[in-house]
Amino acid sequence: MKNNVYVRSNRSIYTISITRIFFLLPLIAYGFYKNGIHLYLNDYINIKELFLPLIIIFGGGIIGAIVNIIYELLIKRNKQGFTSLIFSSFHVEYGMILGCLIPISINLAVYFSCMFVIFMISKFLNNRINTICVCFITIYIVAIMSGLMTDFHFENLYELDKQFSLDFMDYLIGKAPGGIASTHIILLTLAFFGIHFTNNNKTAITTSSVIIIIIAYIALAIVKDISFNTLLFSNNILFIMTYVATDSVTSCYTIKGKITYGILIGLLTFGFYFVKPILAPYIAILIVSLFNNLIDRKLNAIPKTN
Amino acid sequence: MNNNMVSIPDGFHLDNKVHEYLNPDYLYIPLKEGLSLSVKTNALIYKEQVLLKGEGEYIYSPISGKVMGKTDSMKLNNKHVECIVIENDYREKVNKKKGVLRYINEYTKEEMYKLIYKYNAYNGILPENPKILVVNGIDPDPFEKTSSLIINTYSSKILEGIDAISSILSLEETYLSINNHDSDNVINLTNNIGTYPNITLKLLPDIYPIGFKKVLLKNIVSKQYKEEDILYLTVLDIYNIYNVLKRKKPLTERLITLSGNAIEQPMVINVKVGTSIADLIKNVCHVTNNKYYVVANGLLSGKTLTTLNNVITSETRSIFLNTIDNHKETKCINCGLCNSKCPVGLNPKYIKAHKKADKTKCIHCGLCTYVCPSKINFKPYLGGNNEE
Repeated sequence: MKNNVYVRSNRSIYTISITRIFFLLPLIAYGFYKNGIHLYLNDYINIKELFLPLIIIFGGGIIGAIVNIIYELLIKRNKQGFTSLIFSSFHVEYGMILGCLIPISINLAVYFSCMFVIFMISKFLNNRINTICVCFITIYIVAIMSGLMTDFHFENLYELDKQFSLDFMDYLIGKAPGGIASTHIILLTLAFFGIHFTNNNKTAITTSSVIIIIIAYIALAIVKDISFNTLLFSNNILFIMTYVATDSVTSCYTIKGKITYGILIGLLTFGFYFVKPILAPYIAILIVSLFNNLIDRKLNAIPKTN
Repeated sequence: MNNNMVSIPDGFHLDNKVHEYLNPDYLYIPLKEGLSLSVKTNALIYKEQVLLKGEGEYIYSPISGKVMGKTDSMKLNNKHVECIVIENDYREKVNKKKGVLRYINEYTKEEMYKLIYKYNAYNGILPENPKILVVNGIDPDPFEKTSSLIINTYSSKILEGIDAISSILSLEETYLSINNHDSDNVINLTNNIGTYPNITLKLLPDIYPIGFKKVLLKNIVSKQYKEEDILYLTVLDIYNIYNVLKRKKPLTERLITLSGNAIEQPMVINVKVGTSIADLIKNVCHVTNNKYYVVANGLLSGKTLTTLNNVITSETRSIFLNTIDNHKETKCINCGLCNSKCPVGLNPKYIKAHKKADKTKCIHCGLCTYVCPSKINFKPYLGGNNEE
């Protein structure tokens, strides 16, 4: 009783998720234009396929909400309000982020079923490893193995049809191939500042990982004569470092821990680039996230009192 | 400025008026070690007459009336304490009128210190040779309004008091810090401070816990000054010192914030030191929700009182009648806010997991518990003020 709490901030998983999703909306709107409206206006898709980007992104969020409701109601017998059930964990946000990262050519059955199963497992495992990374890697493997997707590529029908020569500005305004809503670098930068200034992002992770990746890719671009723009802006790397690497639950939480976590992700992303460029950042985050608690503990041990 | 501190929205609306409850039926003066009763049981006592006396230490009677004897039914900070009971005769009889003695700037340092200690104007030890004076006009808890209302009501006395201390001690720098959101006081002080060129007004942002001594000093005092160079006083200390220097009025009354979501009209109220909290609530508060808890010295950083038999002392800043926060604690989401917002750089999550970890730096502001999105209560793990 002597340590009762009388006032608390209104910050919760709900407010954090909603804020992060809010700053994703401009990217989603652009993704809808790029992979829906633009294709429809150029007669690449019909009216039904026009809304596919939104179905994939918001469908991901709905799967996250369903998983939360099923788990909380049936397994934990939690009888809190509807909003508390939906936002009992970050899975709604995970679903929408995954929707932004996935290619438009994804098979919906593979996408939604993999997402549902992985989300359910991660709920049972208390969300110990980065769910988005596990989900993306699983979808990739299942899509390739099942033969439903012959080639896991990020281009939409318009991009497959034309030959492009992209310059720096094209990357900034999102013309490059990538996930459904992850290519517009200017909007992504605005989202990054938005979630940073509202205190809903572990900025140190994004900053340190991106700095390492930029340094490594500059070196690689010089040595191997590859376009630096292509290296940095392809495979959704900047989006992943902003929204996936900073997943609250599975990343480090102390300042030293966050910087170290980001540096390790940057280094491993560069290392795995030579194995599988598409999966490199996901594998890097997945591996480092296994050690998040250890990194924090080792770097921030406090002396004991006598 | 520490950007990690948090802006906390105002919880309660208090009117700009100092209320009074100066006539309780009984007063309970806690007995202190080394002090003995200087009047006999059943004797009549004047207001401001010495009640308890020790070596260079005096406790004065806040009211006139009859000394009833000792009781051990009262508590001080939830611990049983023996108290002297005084029955109020409601006459406020004073033995002799002291009047204005001398111009307050004319005291010497030794005289001033002697008066301050003799009349209990300051709880603590003043530094021998201070070089800088920092006056805290910001309430430590965001839901307290005592300091703000003291400045609002007694600004000329506060400025005069600060000026006197500054010139008596020949200080190099003198700061009066207030909240920059406190617009009435900002206007009031900026209009009047020109008369006192030796006082620098520091406007600080409305962020928590800027009103805590350690945090405030870190934000105001440059590193060239050592701890022993700094004289730190609150505006209430200044008000008490002013009364001592001007009228030799001992500390027998205390301005406190009386607030919370379970009372109809939150207020700043002047009460006698030794008033029981039960009396105060019974006679002053219109309780709107009976499921309240009583919290002393801040809703965020304060301590829940286990009984209404606690007494108000010179160290009581506020009393809150508030219902408990019913948010259910959930699993930590690793956001790190407890760590990043801690004003002294502690890691509450680590301390919670490692009970032997050093937490001596903790100032018990309660910010980690306030900001936690998982509604984890860190207070029991940080020890100190909140542990019995």
